[in-house]
Amino acid sequence: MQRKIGKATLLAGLLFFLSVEFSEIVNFVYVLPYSLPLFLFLSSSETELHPVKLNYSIPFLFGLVSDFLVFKNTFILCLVFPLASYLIGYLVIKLKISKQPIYFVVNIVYAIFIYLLGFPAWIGLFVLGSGFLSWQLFSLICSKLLIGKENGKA
Amino acid sequence: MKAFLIYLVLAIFINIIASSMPSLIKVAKNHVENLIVFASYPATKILTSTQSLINSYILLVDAQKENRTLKKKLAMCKIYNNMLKKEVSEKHKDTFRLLQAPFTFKGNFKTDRIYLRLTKELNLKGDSCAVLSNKLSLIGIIDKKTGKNTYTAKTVFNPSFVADVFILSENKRFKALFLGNPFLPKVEFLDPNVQVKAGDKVYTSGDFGVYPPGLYIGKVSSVKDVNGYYKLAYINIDRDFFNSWKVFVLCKEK
Repeated sequence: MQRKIGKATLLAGLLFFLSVEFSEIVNFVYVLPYSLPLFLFLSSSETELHPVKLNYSIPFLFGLVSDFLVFKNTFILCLVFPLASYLIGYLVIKLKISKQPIYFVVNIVYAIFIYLLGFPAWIGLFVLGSGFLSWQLFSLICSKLLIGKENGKA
Repeated sequence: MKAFLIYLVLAIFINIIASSMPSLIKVAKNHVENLIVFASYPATKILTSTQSLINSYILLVDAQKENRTLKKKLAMCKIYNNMLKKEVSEKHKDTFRLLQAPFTFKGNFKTDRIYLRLTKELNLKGDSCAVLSNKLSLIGIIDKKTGKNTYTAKTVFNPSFVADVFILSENKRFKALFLGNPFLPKVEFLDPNVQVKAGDKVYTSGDFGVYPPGLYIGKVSSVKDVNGYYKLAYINIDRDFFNSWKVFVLCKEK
């Protein structure tokens, strides 16, 4: 149990750090709203797509951080992130839909949202690409760490 | 499902705290923001360095571009300069030649003629050679060759010295004729209606092709009206060159 908590903390710290870095890179190219919550969501939802369950603790934690960033005194994303992660998990695990198109759609939704806010189309495409690339990295890290954890447990 | 219920309770609890104790949430928010700033430090550092590198590169490219443009302009200027030099040298080739020469007077108080020794032989048949002071004002004209590279020149104090001139008075030019004199060199044949005054400057006009145009001779010292027919203007000539050991000879094709 302690080992599980330790691994989850390490994973959360690593994903948080990488999300912040990716968000910083995107904001370096063009300052965009809600870029950090997007990366936090992409990274946290990925943690629930592996055999080892963390009980949506990372989506809850990252949702809480996003609440601090997005809202003033309202905490709603700490529920939205775990629910959305559950939905993605349901689509992937239960309905056997590939992860890639789902995350691609998530990034497309954000890119369209950016475009509708009046940002240039190229930045929408850039954030789509960078979001998808970052998710690939998050997925790789999660699979490496969580498979290791599973083996350790075995 | 159990986890979701816990999270729901936690969310409600946090929302209640946020509404009742906003200062606590503010402190937590500050901590979260500090954590994000701390976590983003490596990326910020790298990106700032990258940006400064990109800026330097852009600056370098701009400087190189400007350098190329300036080099092109410089090359064009050099070409124009060479063309102008060529044009000027062709235009003035064998037209004007300025030579330096030591000189001496004929004798004491005889300033109407000077002797010059030149290092180069003059072509007096083809050229007319004016003698200039070290301030480049006209003081005479070479008329004879007396020996090997030795020449005599009539000065402006010689009664037989004549030059076509103009008087510059308030940006107006009045043509006249300069006549040399040991004591009172003068300008004659001025139109009686011409208004010249003391202090006006006299220059060669170059109309007869003997003297180069625009050579300074002297200043008008006084003006005399001759019975209403014409005017005379007496010229004050700078005699500083008496004390100088050298003059200049300016030769021009006739």
